[in-house]
Amino acid sequence: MVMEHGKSVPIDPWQRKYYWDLRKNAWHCDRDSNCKWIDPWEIKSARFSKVCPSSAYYLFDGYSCQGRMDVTVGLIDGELKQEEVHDLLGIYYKCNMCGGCDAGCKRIQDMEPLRVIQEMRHKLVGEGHLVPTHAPVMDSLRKEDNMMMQPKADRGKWAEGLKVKDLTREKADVVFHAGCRFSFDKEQWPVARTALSLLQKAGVDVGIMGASEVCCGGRPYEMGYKGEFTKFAEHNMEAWRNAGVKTVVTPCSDGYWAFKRLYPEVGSKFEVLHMVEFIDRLIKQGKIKFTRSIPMTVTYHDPCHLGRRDHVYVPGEPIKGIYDAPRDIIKSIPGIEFVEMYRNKEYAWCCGAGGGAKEGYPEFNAWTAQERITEAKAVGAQAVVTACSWCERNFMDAVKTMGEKTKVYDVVELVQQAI
Amino acid sequence: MPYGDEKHKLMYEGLAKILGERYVSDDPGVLQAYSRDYYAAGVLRRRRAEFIILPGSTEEIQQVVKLANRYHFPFSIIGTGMFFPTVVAVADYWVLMDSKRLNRIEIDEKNMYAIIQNYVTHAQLHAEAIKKGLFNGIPEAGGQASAFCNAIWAGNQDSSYRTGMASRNILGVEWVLPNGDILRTGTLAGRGDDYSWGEGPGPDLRGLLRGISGHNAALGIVTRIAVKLYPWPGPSAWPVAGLAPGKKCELPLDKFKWYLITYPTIQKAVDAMYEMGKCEIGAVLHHLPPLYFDWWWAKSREEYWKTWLEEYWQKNCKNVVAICLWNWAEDQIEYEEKVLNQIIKDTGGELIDDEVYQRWVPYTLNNWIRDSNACRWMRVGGGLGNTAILFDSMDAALQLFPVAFELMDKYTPPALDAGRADWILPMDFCHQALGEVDYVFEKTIDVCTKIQESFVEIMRRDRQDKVLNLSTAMSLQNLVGPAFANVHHITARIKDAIDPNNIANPTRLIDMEKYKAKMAKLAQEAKQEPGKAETK
Repeated sequence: MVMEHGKSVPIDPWQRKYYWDLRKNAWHCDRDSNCKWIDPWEIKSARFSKVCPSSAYYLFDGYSCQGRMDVTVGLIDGELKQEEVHDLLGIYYKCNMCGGCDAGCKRIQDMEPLRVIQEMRHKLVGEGHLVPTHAPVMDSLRKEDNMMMQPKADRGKWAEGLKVKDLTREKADVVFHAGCRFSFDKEQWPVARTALSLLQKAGVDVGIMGASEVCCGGRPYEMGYKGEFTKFAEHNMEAWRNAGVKTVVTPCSDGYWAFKRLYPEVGSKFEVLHMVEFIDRLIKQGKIKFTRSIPMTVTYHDPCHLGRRDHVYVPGEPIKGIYDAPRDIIKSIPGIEFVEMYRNKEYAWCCGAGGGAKEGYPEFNAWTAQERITEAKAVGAQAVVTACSWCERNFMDAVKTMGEKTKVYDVVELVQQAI
Repeated sequence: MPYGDEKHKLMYEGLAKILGERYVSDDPGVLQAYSRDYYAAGVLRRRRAEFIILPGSTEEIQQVVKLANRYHFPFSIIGTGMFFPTVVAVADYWVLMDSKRLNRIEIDEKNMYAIIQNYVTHAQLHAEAIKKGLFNGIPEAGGQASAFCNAIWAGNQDSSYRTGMASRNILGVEWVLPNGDILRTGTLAGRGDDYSWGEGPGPDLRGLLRGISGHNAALGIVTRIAVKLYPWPGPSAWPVAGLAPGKKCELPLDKFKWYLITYPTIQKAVDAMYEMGKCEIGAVLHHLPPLYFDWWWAKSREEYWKTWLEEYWQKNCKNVVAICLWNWAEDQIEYEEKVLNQIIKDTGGELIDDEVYQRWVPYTLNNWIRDSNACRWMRVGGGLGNTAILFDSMDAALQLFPVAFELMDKYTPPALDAGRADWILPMDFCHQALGEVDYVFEKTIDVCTKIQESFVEIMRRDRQDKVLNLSTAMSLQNLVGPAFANVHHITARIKDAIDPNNIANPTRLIDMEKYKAKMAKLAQEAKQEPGKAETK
């Protein structure tokens, strides 16, 4: 007897065509541990084969994506009570929100486990469960509009001396959004200044908000503070509209992700470009030409928010991100020998700074960055190049702590050296 | 849940003293993350352990086991989690060891073996081995699953056709017995540092840890094994391109050549595989049902159901034999191709269309050598079940399949459409084989309950027909022992000798309390009515 074909297809429509549902996502986890590793196809070194910093550092499965799914189901179904969990906040917040687990899972499942973690953070904040070490940053965001706990009046100082349109008074097609870290971290000011100069030299009608620029809101969103995110998003969008802006360019990957992937949820229609996309375009148009050789072996670190987190989830579709543009730029610089790290693109190891981990759990954050520097050294790189202020700062700190000689650059800095 | 009583406190203090506080957790949130076994039964019977601990060495495990004997608490251990067989807590004060810190790999290139610990995955071992021109087999559980656990558990691997079951590739073993003694087998039993040979003085004790589905820590904690590696003719890094979930792998065609051949009947396919085995050609050989093509190929549920309902794979991949020829020596593929073509001709096979071949091989089948990636099964419904898993011969598999299909029909729905999913993995050039009939189901409490009923029925059938099915092997030996030469008596005596306190994953493998109660009852009956008890 041959069974009737099509006799038994799933009753739950979710099992035939995916849609977002918190419990269904968490419940569907089959505990296969793909969230803990890079894709087995991609493993080239046993030492550098894990993808989840949280699971690799804290070790217990409660701090892995899989464990977080189990805890979520337990809480939703009432098997587990919030008040009995000793480290409830740690379970959801000892995580960089890097999305490595999510990429591992999506290779085999129709699931969005990172979104589960994100929703649980929103829920916890909504219920008043706050990570104590996040309080100073949240105060800074509320009072000073930045993540850096610095006076907002100082925000525009990075651009002092540059001739650039002030979009609080003038209009321009493009706004250059420096972001919190580039605005306040003096060591990183040259990146923002160079990036802006490159745009100007290319003839782009660009301006800045200066001291009136505010946080993109992406980091507070990830930390669970959805209200703060909405406030910043609405503020930024109104300021851009008033200045006649059509395109937002930023050298910050967190900012890029917030503008590109979160802002549309609150009505944004602005074109969003990361600085590396812009530079890559200028190189390919012949508007940037390199004249100097940089004899150095370098590797590229994919910032999570510019890489895998840039993708819009459609089951079965590739986990796209801005992977090629920065690599194309680096490879086009004369003298550079480019080497890939073992974990790259959608399976890149995180720098450690994201998701509130830097502010909440500094030891974990530092360890994560040091792991990446160790990996860069293992592939023979003399320098780590990245495209995010948070990654760059974390790596600079890691190199210092480790006493290493590895150099750390933003793509923009290399471009400037080669011009 | 942690009980917070005196025993809990004593256990915590003892465990923390051995391992350090960082590696001991009784946080209910952490415990929840280890509260389920993988199969349907596990979904239904979630239970938290008392403690999760992270031992980092054989010596630490030995101390924990000694503590367990002192305070009488049960323990078990998990690997990477996939298939996670029967290790979740089933009693109070349970200590579940997470093996993440047991992650050492050492490759002895000259003697072609690797020493591995519990948390080493197949893909990690494969990546390191191919750098040295060697390889290890990969099971369907996937590259992310523990190579160690596969070797001491079911042990089927995609290269088993040439390399045998993983469990037959175990060399030296280090093992903490439930009484706290450390057992070393093979040459390792000598000075304690030589892993090169599996057998040592006296009986081969590897038989105790293998069986069909291992002992799941019911006879202690294995902490280190050496496994054989085999020559690898391919590149030193796995060739892969693209982005997940649509990555592509193109192995060099002069080194690896897949043939996918269809046959009018499964019997003909099996006949052809026997011929291939006799001629000892190829390195990887399978009979693959259409279901497998869709499971492994589809990148989303929507794509899966669309393709399944259009019957693309069912129409194009009937009774397929998949064989991969490897070029270990010059002209080997050329020679084997000639032999294979003759076999195809003699057995009435036909190569599948190139369009179908190109759709399947670079995106899925090449990768079975590195990953296999069975986790894609669970994309479709969230649960995986089997109505047959048989380790015997291909002929025995053909006899079992109709029974398995009958059960499939009975339990579909709730089992989801699977067609006639009759997978055969020949081993040792077809002298042995794994036969398996799989399906997926929607992971809900109602469906898991129904699926559990099907497992009970399979066990009954196994016992009645004396079919050595994996479902049987995983069940209590109390139930199936009488059908298989009273093996439960032997198991019970061994367990009693090395685990007098019955603390090593108790009730799994054999329920000693039930066994002893039954034996006592039979003894009592024998006293009262001599002769009657002997028949039970």
